Amino acid sequence: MADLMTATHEAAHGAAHGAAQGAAAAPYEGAGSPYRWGMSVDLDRCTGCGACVVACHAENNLPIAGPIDTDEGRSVDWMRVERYWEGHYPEITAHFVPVMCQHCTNAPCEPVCPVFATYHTPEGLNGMVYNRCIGTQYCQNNDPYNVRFFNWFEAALNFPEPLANQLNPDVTVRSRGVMEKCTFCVHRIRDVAADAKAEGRLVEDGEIDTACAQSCSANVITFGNLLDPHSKVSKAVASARRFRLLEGLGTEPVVYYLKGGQA
Amino acid sequence: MERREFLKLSGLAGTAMVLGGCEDYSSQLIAYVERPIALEPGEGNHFATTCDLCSAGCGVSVRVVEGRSVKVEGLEGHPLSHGGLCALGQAGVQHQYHPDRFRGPDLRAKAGEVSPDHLKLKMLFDDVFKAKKRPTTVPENFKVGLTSFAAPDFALADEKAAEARKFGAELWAQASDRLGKALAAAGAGAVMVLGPQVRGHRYQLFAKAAKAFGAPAPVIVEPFGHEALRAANKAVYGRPEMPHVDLANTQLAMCFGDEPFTTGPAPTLFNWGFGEMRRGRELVRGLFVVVSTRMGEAAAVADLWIPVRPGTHGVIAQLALHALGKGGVTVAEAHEKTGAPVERLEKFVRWVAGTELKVAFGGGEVLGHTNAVETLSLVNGVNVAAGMVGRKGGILPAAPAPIAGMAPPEPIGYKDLLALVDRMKAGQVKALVVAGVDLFMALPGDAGLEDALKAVPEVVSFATVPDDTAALATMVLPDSTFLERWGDATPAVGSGSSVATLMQPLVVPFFETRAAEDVLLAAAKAAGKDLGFASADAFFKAMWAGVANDNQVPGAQSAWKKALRNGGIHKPALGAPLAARMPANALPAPRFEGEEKDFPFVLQPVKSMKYREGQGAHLPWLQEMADPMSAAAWGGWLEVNPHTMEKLGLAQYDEVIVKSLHGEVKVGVVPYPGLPEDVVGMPLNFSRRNGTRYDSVEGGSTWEATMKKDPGRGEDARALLGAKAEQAGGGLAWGSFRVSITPTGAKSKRLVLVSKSIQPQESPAVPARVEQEFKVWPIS
Amino acid sequence: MKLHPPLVHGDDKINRDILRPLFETSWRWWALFGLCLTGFGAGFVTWMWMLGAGMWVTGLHRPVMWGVFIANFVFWVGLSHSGTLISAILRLAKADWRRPITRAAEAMTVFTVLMAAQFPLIHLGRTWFFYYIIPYVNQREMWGNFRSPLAWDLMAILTYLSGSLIYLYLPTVPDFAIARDYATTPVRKKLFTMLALGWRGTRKEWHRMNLAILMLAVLVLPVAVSVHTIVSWDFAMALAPQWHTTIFGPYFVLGAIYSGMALVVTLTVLIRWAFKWEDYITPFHLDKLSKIMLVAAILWTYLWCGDYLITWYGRLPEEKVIIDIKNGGPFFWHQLTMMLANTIVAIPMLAFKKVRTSPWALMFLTIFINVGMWLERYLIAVPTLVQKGPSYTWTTYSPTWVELMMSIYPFAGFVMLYVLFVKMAPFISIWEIREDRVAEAYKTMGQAKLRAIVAE
Ligand SMILES: Nc1nc2c(c(=O)[nH]1)N[C@H]1C(S)=C(S)[C@@H](COP(=O)(O)OP(=O)(O)OC[C@H]3O[C@@H](n4cnc5c(=O)[nH]c(N)nc54)[C@H](O)[C@@H]3O)O[C@H]1N2
Ligand SMILES: Nc1nc2c(c(=O)[nH]1)N[C@H]1C(S)=C(S)[C@@H](COP(=O)(O)OP(=O)(O)OC[C@H]3O[C@@H](n4cnc5c(=O)[nH]c(N)nc54)[C@H](O)[C@@H]3O)O[C@H]1N2
Ligand code: SF4
Ligand code: SF4
Ligand code: SF4
Ligand code: SF4
Ligand code: SF4
Ligand SMILES: [Mo]
Repeated sequence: MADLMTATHEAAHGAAHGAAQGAAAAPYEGAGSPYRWGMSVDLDRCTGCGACVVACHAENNLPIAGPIDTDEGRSVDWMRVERYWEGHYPEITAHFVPVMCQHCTNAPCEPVCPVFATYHTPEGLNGMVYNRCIGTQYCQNNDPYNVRFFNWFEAALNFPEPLANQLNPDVTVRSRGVMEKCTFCVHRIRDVAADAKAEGRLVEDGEIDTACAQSCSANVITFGNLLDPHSKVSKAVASARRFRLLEGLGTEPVVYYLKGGQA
Repeated sequence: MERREFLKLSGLAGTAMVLGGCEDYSSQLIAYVERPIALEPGEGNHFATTCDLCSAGCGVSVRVVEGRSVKVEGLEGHPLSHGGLCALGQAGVQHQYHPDRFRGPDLRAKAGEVSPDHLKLKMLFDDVFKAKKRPTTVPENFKVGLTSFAAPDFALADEKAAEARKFGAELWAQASDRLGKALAAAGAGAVMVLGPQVRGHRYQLFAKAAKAFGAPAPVIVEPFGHEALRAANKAVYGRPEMPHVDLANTQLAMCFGDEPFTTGPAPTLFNWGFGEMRRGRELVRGLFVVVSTRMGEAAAVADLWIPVRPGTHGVIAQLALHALGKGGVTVAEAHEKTGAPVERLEKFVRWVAGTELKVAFGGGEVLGHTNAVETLSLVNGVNVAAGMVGRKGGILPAAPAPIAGMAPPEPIGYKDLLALVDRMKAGQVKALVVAGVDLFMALPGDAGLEDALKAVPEVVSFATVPDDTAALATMVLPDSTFLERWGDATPAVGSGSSVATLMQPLVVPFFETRAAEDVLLAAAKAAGKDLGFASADAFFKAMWAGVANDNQVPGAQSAWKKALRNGGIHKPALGAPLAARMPANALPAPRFEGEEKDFPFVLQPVKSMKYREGQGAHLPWLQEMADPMSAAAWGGWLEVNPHTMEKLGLAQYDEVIVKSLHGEVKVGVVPYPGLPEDVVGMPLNFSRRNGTRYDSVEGGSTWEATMKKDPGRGEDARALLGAKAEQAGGGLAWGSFRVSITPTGAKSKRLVLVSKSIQPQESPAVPARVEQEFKVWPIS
Repeated sequence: MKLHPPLVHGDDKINRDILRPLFETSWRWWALFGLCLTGFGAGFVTWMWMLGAGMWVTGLHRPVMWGVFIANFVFWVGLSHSGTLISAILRLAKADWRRPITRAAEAMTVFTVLMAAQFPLIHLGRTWFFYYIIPYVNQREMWGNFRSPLAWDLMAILTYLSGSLIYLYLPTVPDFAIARDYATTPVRKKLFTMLALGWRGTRKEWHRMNLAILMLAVLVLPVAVSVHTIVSWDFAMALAPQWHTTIFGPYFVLGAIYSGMALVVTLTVLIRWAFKWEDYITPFHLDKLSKIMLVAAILWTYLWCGDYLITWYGRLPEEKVIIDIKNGGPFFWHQLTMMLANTIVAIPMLAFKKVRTSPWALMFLTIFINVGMWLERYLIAVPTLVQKGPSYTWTTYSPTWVELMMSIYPFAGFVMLYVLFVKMAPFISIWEIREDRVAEAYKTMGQAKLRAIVAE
């Protein structure tokens, strides 16, 4: 009964395999920093429940586009759960893929920005400087994952009073005409990193969690420091099931997916 | 409190309690009683409480910044949320700051007519917002002494807010008078109808009030609820309540029609269990089998999906029984009856026979069929046959709450609800008190609820935001949200722990709202009846006295503080053993209303995680998020198999009229490969005739940012359902209606799709993409 | 021994013929000018309104972030090419038949670039901060990103604009002088005196100018070629399917020359008719221009096929889905019209001398060609974006009235500047024509026997 073979690859030879491949991401001359933030997304756990999507909206003050502009493709979901159909009833399958900015090590969105509004931080994040962005929208054209979102309208207007009270004071409400995207909840990273620095230590594994990872009760998403070989995320990406989206493009994302199914 | 200590706490505000498996988690939370008042502006603190948006009762941790609740997060280590949260729970803060939330009581001269006083109160609060401020004063009855941080620049707001508060207090005084009189006058003719979230001691207080006024005990109504499941549980396990389905420790989970991760009785809990079952253990990866007609979220993540004709799920349960050598049906028969592919059935049999630990559970679409009770009994029977009742990795008895008197009574059945509606029509109900539920969300379109409500002289609604029941009420006494009041609950489903969750007021009531408890107490007082408590505050503290009393225990933490820190008290425990009666092997064929020739399609009403039973409909976040399967947002859609669309010459976005014997709705078409060709799907409870700006059928409010008119969400699938109680035990068979589809020739203006591409029909290149780029499906 | 034409006296007819538009203004001129002003104004108001409202008024949405605006940009930069290019090439080649048309062409370049240069601003989300892109010293030590093709665009276009502006102005100086001497009203006198920079026509002046023109011609050529190569890199440097291709550089340049030539012809025919300059601009000239156009057409078609065939044959999933929507999907008609205009109709027609020498046939053909060339730009920008990336995010694109207005805007603006120019400067280089006429010598170029001045 091969299909009842329930031992997971990890247990079998996953770790070894991962070690062989070297779990951490591609060489990166951001250098210096002891951190290299990364994420793993275990598709075998994901149920497509969408909690992460709303969590990101809540944490990062994402605008509410309204029915018409949502339909016209102007809604903003830094995190979205993509659904892929295959086949026809009854031979049909569907797959969920939670997709957010992959924080590519060779981020195609960065070199094309004429004003350095989007750039790479020493900690391996794809940073976004809103007040520097002039809205050429080039970066989204060059983003193979389509996870960059443009502020088409004065989004703040769609928080009618007193709805604006829900806004997270740690995160800017972006103004019209600038690009935005998943930041790996950088405000949370800064908050903790600052405390750690003040206490003269490094951030410990698990100390930082992104809003999406935190909301996911299925524990699909693991966030952490890829430079720390003992971090949860480093262990996760050592899995034999790991792959990265559109890997062929050589963008070297730091978001690793773990393949679903009996593998 | 020490500044250093405080800084430590607020530092953790950012981290938001994510320390996986940290030893004393509670130490990171601030007990509300020792709440540091002088917070640094901008710094947040986390307070534990309970999510009140569905009856699962997840423990949550709410980030409060400068007196605003800005984020609801899962409570680490809580037996229901396990540190996570569902999409609806995330939207709790929008419940709190909803722009259309009632600002205060509305004492109407006539049903449905907004009173001038209410409008005045609204204006007063709007002035506060015009000054770009938020109310920072405290309602006069608000005993617990929270003060938010009145920075100088709030002075203006305070003036205006104080004025609004003052006026609101006057209205409340009138309100309790009027409520008291009404209930006294109605006496036994008064009926209290409560939603499933009115539980724990909150229910007890309603009961006390009813008793004091000589009214019958309040009844609980569960819209499109689980009564068939309860009946089945009673039949097989001997108890109606929902046991603990031990997903985390099982090897093979069989899910019959349920959508446990999105719309089930406890999405967060099942989501956690699923994750653990799949990848939580070193050597075992649990297998997940789903039996359903429509491929929903659960089927999408299944290792084995068994597609069956509507209402034939029970046959597969019988097949499982067969595989376990307990009668049942053979693969051939099962294939014959359900139309499921033989090789999958054989695989299923292999898996059932070949695994040691297995568990079967049902719900979702099964609940809507005429044979729901029999089907679910058979499903439960599988656990009995497999000897998994009371066994780890199987079905475990739910433990009672550690505090007495918290479990609410079983919700009334749909039949009783219809009976109540008839009594209202007959004028036998003198006063109707509705709290925690929008009755319209619980009844099909032609149940005649509107006339019934009109026949009741005094209809009192405790709604926080406009809904269809409140629209026909004579009195709206807006309840405070779960972030603004005390409350407690014991979860509706078993979780392997004995749980009493606690709700604490974390922020000042934003408007002139009152906790229902306070309103009832005041009303009783006004009518000269004493319920024995001065305020909701006093009431809950008394109810928790057993825990609260040991405040003076030497050492830092009293049990009470700990309870507040942990959002209640919970410890691993199981209830008294369940019975394990083998159900009869009988499975009546499902009945469908309407002739096949006039109504060629079976309507599969879909509970979307966006809307649940209606709790999500008025929240913009949930309206705007894409439905995981159809990728539709903002209102309703009609799911049709692409081949059927070809036959009917339909295209995406085409507007069609869906017609049943009971009504018709206009809706836009979405290609849905996960449905058989003779079944169409449509979501439930996404719109209200008189809802908020976000969930109104007609809409019309203009979006400020773009000045675009809102087309509205459109008519709900409820309009297509008949009111007859068709299930054994009198449940509503909401999945038993046939419909016809006629294109209007127009494109739907209301349909909103976040993703417009339906692979693979659209482009042959896509499977290649999915395969190469998104290596995500089972290799077997 | 060099010959220099006398200044004012001498062939007075040419002077009067060519200077007529400067001193007489017909109601037709006013009508045309009014029309253009209206179109231009309407476009400008739309732009300002869009600045206030936000980009949602366009048909753009994720992931289609570039649409008609960028198509217009590429199209107008392209148009600008032939002007300077032919003028410079022909100058250097001493092809004297160019003389009557060079200035029209050079002016065209300047005005088209002026129109093109606005679109990068129009399509910005925060136009009011466009200057962040300019690398200027600031105490915050913030610089533009020189790796970004958009930064290259900025520099290329500014260089090109300034270059071709001087290249237009310099040879006009002597004619301004003539205009000055003919001017009657004091205002005109003042104006042309200013523009003439006190030109007296001494030997030295002539010598310096010829030298300067020669040098400019040499300098402006590589710039012209590089500009559209750089514009092509906006796409070629990107990672998007169908954009990421090395052929784009030459392909864009040829497309530019092609559409530019077409516009030159259209304009030449119109001017010839409008000012009755039949004996300055003859079928002989049109024939020459058309031949260049024919060559461009053939080369463009060759490169297009080269690009298309390889991607079509390669069938990478990403590329295929985009080729599919051009061959069968929403972009079928765009592509068909483009191929008809640029290849299937144009090449055979231009093969006939009869067509090449008949002004009106040419005019309609060239307009059709430019319709095709606009569609080509559109087909480069849009289809890639509607189906790039995860198929979950695929979409469609349809421009709104805003984009329509912003497409009328540059046309109106261009013609407006052009008709103004006609009133500002001698439209045919008087001195060069005269230079030509006085020269007695003949010399042969290819088989054609051409007039030529005695070489310096
Ligand atoms: N929206 C917005 N935010 C900004 C900026 C911006 O341009 N716009 N600029 C940023 C920059 S560059 C800066 S430097 C910061 C400045 O940030 P702040 O320093 O916070 O800004 P100020 O309001 O200038 O000064 C703070 C307080 O100091 C008080 N004050 C004045 N004199 C004295 C004194 O002698 N003793 C004491 N104890 N208090 C005094 C003032 O009354 C004021 O309340 O703001 C940053 N934040
Ligand atoms: N009355 C009064 N005066 C003050 C102060 C005060 O408190 N009160 N604060 C003082 C202090 S602390 C400060 S720091 C200064 C701040 O004053 P400034 O140094 O003027 O800083 P800003 O006004 O914030 O920004 C200046 C301009 O830079 C633009 N900008 C952004 N990015 C770029 C870029 O890449 N290039 C260029 N060229 N411009 C860019 C912004 O849009 C803005 O228009 O003001 C000082 N002056
Ligand atoms: S919350 Fe977790 S399970 Fe739900 S969709 Fe997101 S990643 Fe998947
Ligand atoms: S995913 Fe897209 S936005 Fe994120 S870094 Fe990569 S290219 Fe940039
Ligand atoms: S939109 Fe903003 S971030 Fe993106 S490329 Fe343009 S300026 Fe840079
Ligand atoms: S990491 Fe943060 S910003 Fe990125 S998707 Fe998750 S929640 Fe959103
Ligand atoms: S499952 Fe229910 S209780 Fe739990 S978070 Fe979601 S809505 Fe709240
Ligand atoms: Mo500053």
